[in-house]
Amino acid sequence: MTNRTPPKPRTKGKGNFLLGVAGLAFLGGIVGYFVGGWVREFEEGRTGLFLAEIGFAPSLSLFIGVLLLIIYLISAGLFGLAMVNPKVARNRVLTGGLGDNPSSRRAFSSLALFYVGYSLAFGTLVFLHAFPKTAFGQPFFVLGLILIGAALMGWCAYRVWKSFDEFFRAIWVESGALSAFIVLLGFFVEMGATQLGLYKGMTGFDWLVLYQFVYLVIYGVVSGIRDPNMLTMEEPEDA
Amino acid sequence: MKNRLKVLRAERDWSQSDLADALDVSRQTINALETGKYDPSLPLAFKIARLFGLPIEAIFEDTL
Repeated sequence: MTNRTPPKPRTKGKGNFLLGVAGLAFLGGIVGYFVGGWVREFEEGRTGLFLAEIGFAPSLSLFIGVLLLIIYLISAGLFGLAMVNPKVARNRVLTGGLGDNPSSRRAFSSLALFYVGYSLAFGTLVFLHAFPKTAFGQPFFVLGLILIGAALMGWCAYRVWKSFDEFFRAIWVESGALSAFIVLLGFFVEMGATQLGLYKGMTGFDWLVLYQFVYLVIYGVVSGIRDPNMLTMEEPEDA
Repeated sequence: MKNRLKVLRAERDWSQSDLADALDVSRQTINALETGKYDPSLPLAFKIARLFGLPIEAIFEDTL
């Protein structure tokens, strides 16, 4: 039996990944610049926007919430497209690292519906947060939208869990556990500061947005640690 | 945990996709196993051993 040592495969996408991170950092800087300017005007009472009524922290939550909602809507579309378009399915950047393999293909339909449910539930909450004074003739209808979205998420998450192999399940579990722990620590600090009167406190929507943001970051970190090729657009050399 | 998956796969001229299909896992799982980023569960380790016709200890090396 031979004992050859194959050459170490190159990770082609490392340059692209770093470029993507740099691009995001640049965009984040631009957004931060404009948000900073807007906050200054906000504090000086010069804006005529309705957001001035709900305050800075809720406005920030709303801004991030809308960004997240756009991500979820795009994700629903991409996974739906991946079901019928092999080119999209093979692009691991677009499919969150899943790629085109039997395990992933089984999950695409469930993931598409998952993000539809997510968009429905979270989108409704974003709307309620943006327009808190809206009077609904049938409030239980609006609550029903959230419940339907949440139920769809739960059912699809179960199907995705059954479709995923143990590697992706491990990433999912680690991401969820780590992000929940980080948010828990933040919750301790926030609650202490609120109880001591040092901070007015965060709303449930603020925490919801914060948790989702932390989860997305942590999922990226965990995925990157487990699979450095996760965000490469092409398959590695010996695939 | 170190393993000889890549060597065993190369001896049979299998791609990662071929091995992944044979084990009913994703190609990313095979890549993560070979690079040591992920250790398989016991059922998967037994599946791998059965596929190659070798004992688990001949494929996976305990580095502790």
